[in-house]
Amino acid sequence: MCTQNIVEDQMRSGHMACPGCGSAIAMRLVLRALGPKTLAVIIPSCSSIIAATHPHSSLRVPAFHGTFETAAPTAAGLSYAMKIRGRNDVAVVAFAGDGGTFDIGLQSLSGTADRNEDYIYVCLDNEAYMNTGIQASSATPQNAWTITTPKGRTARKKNIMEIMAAHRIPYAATASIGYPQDLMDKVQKARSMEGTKFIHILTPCATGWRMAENLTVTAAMLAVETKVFPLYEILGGKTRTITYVPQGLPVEEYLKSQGRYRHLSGVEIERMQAETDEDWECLLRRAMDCQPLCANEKEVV
Amino acid sequence: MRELLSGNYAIAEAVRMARAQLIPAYPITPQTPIYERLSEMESQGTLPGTMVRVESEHSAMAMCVAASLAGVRVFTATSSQGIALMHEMLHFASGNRVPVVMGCVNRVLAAPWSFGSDQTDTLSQRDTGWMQFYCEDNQEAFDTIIQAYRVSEATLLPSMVIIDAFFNSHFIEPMDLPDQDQIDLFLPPPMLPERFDLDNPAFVSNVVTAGSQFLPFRETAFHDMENAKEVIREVDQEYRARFGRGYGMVEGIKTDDARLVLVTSGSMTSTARMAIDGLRAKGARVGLLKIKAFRPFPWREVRDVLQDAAKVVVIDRNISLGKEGIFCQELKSAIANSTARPQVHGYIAGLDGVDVSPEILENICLEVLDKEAPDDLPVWVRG
Amino acid sequence: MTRQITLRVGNVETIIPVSRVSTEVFKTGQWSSRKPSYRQKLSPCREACPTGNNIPAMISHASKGDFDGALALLLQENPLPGVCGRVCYHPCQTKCNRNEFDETVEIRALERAIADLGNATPPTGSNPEDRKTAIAVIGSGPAGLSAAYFLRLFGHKVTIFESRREAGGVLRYGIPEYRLPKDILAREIGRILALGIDLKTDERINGDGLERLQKEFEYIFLGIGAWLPEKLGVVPDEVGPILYGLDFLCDERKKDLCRGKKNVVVIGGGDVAVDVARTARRLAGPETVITMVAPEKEGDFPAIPEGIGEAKEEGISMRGEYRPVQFLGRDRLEQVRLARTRVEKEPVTGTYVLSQGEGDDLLIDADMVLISIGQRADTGLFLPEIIDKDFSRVFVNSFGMTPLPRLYAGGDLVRQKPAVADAILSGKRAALSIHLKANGYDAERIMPALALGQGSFLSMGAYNENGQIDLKKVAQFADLTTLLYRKTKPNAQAKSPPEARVTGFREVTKGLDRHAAIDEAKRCFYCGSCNGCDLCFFLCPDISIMKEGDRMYSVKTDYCKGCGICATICPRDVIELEERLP
Repeated sequence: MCTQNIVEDQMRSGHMACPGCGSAIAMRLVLRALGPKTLAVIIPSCSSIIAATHPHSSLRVPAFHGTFETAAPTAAGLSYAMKIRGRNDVAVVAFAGDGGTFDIGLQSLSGTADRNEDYIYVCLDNEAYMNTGIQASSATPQNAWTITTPKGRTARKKNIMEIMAAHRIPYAATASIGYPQDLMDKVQKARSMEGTKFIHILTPCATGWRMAENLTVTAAMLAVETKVFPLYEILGGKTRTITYVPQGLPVEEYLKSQGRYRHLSGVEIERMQAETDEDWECLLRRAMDCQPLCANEKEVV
Repeated sequence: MRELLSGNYAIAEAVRMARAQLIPAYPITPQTPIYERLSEMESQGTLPGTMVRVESEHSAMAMCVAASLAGVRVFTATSSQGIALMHEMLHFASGNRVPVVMGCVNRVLAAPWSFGSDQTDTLSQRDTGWMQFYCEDNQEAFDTIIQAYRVSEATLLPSMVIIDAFFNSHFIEPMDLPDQDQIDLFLPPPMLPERFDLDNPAFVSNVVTAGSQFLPFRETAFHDMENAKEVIREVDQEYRARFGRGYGMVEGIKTDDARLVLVTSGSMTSTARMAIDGLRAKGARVGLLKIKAFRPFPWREVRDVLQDAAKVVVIDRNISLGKEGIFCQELKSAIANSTARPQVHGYIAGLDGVDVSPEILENICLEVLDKEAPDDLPVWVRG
Repeated sequence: MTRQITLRVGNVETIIPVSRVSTEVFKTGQWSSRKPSYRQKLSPCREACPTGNNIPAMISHASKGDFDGALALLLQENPLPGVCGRVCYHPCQTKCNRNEFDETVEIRALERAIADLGNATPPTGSNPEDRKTAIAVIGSGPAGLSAAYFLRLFGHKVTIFESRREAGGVLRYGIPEYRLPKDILAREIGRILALGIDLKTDERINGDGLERLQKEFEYIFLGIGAWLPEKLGVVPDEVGPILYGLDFLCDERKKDLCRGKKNVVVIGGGDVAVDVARTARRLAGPETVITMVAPEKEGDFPAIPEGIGEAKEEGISMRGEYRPVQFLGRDRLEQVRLARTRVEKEPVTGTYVLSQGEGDDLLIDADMVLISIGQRADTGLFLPEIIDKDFSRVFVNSFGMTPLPRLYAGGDLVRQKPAVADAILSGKRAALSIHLKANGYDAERIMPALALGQGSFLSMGAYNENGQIDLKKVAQFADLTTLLYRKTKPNAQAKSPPEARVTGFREVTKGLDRHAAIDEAKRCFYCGSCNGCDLCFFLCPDISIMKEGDRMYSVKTDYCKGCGICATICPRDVIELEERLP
């Protein structure tokens, strides 16, 4: 399925995101794919700044600013209200950062997923608490520098997709800003389904990942091509479909593009390569098939 | 229609008849029968609203705020730990000016752990911008729920309808339940401001940058809560006219010529009525002030009732460590600038549902009548 | 009766933050003076193409299955795409950036597919205000056909004088059918003549004829080719048959000449030599040994590698580093003596010089020798003023003009690479030059502006493109972003098996079918050209790139923060970040 009927952006220029912001790209593409009949939930995160402060809004759809750990039940509440009021054509989308998803918001997200409430949850993952100034979250990968993990985080990144799959929600998918068509297709696919839909988007942050502002999209591509961040879907918590076959570039190419990994030793890089390979093999074994969303994989460019 | 109902079930009935549309809730002793009864009604098809069995009270309130903002009548109920967990979201609800109505059953807040009646849980939330109504009995609880929706939806401020653990929540009383169509006439469907209009989209409740921008929101809410007093009065009068029962923000019992006024709230008030009668029979000129509305605090009414009293005795089934009983604090501040300057004596009694008998209350009043001056600190009463 | 609960608050719009003011009041473009610009550049394939074909644009159409559109574009630059798509030496493929990624795009195969599958007419519609005049084109080979074509597109009245019975020149008489079928040639020539060009065959023009024509026509283009063979220094008169290659190919009796021959030796390693050898292969018996002898090393024969490969498949032997020094035989040829040879390129003139190599002579059996070591023009036909004696060619300047006024020349007649594409270019150059001159336009200024890259190849499309593409800058592989591409095998054209080939002159190579052509077209990187992939549009965090139409984007400088993602991500090196001072 290729993205259909997209006419206009639902986001405006003039917002205060840093130049090159990956989250801004993701928000824009998600809203573009959803169209004007959308209600958005924004919580404290970089998105809060991007969506703008009073009396401005960078969004052309109605939105509500919830609390940090309640993106999920806030969206669910809006979703119930819309249905009760007979407004069945409105989609509700919650935007949360990795902190608001993997950490403080995990409980309430789990609750909505358990109840399979009808909305789309989008995690804009820049792998740390960036809005408050680069503090580690449980989405921060192992060995990544942050201000609160100056020697590199010791724990590995939580596998949020498997956590969501364990709830058996109808749809969970990863996406990357390096692959805009794939991202928008997944959002549209989510919108067409009922129940809790979870989309995990890797949104590199130039400031927090310590790289030049023009490289955020490149990093998002490299993450996919090195298999560090595979693009796949999980339907019903069971069926895994790989939606893009990566080139399998060495993980080092991805790591060396970012200052937050500058301190890595060769041994650590090797270990990360081994872990990436292992995770990929595991995903492959569990995956039903490799099926790009667009009919022709080469339509990428 | 006459019914025998516990306080919990009375609240459930009121919520059903108020036609609450979305009810996110989480179980906690001693609120659980409210939650269970509503779930039972839903499964029987008699509940017009939708239950959501959420995974925490914090999420319950998050869902209430969102749905209410989106124009739907909501309800939730909790107690003790649950209301404490909700604390952030209580501020969020009043700040967002949503007419959420919540039933609260006062229960001890850990630690130590216990389940008896104690008002500290709701009183700890007195700064969150919610209206608070402390009910004496199950009938009042039912009536107050209905009235609370009227008041909240007119003032766009959330309200708590509060009962005591076990004394109200679980004890069964005979009650008068109005007919549904009468309730419908009193409480029409919600017509809340349209916050999410696709044709005129806005970003609601986003960050306000400068302090100068922030202030008007708080100040307006403050004045709106003050103006709510008038709305509370009007609604109460209308309810009395239609259903024969009204409560006022406060009730003064035999206070016109009282030299000593006993002040209580909640279920303890029923006992206090008996104590006052007993003392009057003994010749003491005593009266009773029941405080029902705690927020907004009815300081004018309180001053009026106490203007001729020489002594005031406040019984608190709660404590704010580092100060004193909370009703006592609030009353003192309410009358601080009045011309009448009665003595205010504070007593702490009944924590964790310990029985406060008419004798105890009588003895307290007699003790105070003999005292020359109040103590600096509250007096702790053992059961 | 349903009443409504009366609201007792002031203004619901101001009791909580309700934000509607668009962020567009913030001109975030002020954050940075850097702004992207779309600077389309030349692709290396196009720089290398003598006809200046806009290869990326042509391939873009093909990739969408629009072969008609692709052909229309092709016809702007090349009147003979079906020919070039079969016989060109494809310098484009040598320069294709994809070589540095995996393998070249099969551009020549695509050109052929477009010519065979597409339907389009040449871009007629000349400027009515231009002056039209009468021009004579002498010779209907690729140079003459090209000159006639472009002159006719400009609206001039064109008459072609062809000495032979049919038009085509070396295309008909020099290139065998197994490489260029006659029906294809007819189609290609037909398309040119259908523009309204007057073709007079069987009309040989010599010096006097030229004078007559100069009175009748305002301008003349000479494209008579180079049909005289370069001679070996050492050919005896007595033993034979020893023929010259191109003569052999043109000879109607060539089948008879080959009958009964057992050992045919072809001297030369160029494309004509290969064609001679392969023709002999088809006409002689299956047992006949056909050998090519050339002074170059075996891997370095100047012919197109595909031709060498196919010749070998057809059983032709190659012997490098030899040249013939003696022809032996009593009353007819029996053997050839070959001497070891070394080839060196003379640094000053660039010509190749042969010298004795190391090793003994070799004696090989031969009962027919075909000498194919190059051609020269018949310069004796024309006035000495226009003859370049050193190279036996007519002399022309960079505008295709001979020293004589109103007399132009091109093709093998002038000094240029002896290839079809280069001949087409020379015809185009002369045509443009004539047209500008006839209208008093400044050719000195205009024509260099149409040159591509560092070379002198011209694009007519560039004349019309209006500066959309910077023709002097070439997009190098290092400047591309290929992260989203995959290594793929090119779609190769199928060939008939060698045993089937040598029994006749059927076309050896089968063109790509529609599906394969589209698939191959999708391998193009479109170096330097925007193909409307929309990556820049979608990936701007500040929604500052607008789509203006097909492959047209504009930048909202009021909002662009100069992050440079677009410039970095553009796979084709079109976007550049520049300092723009207010």
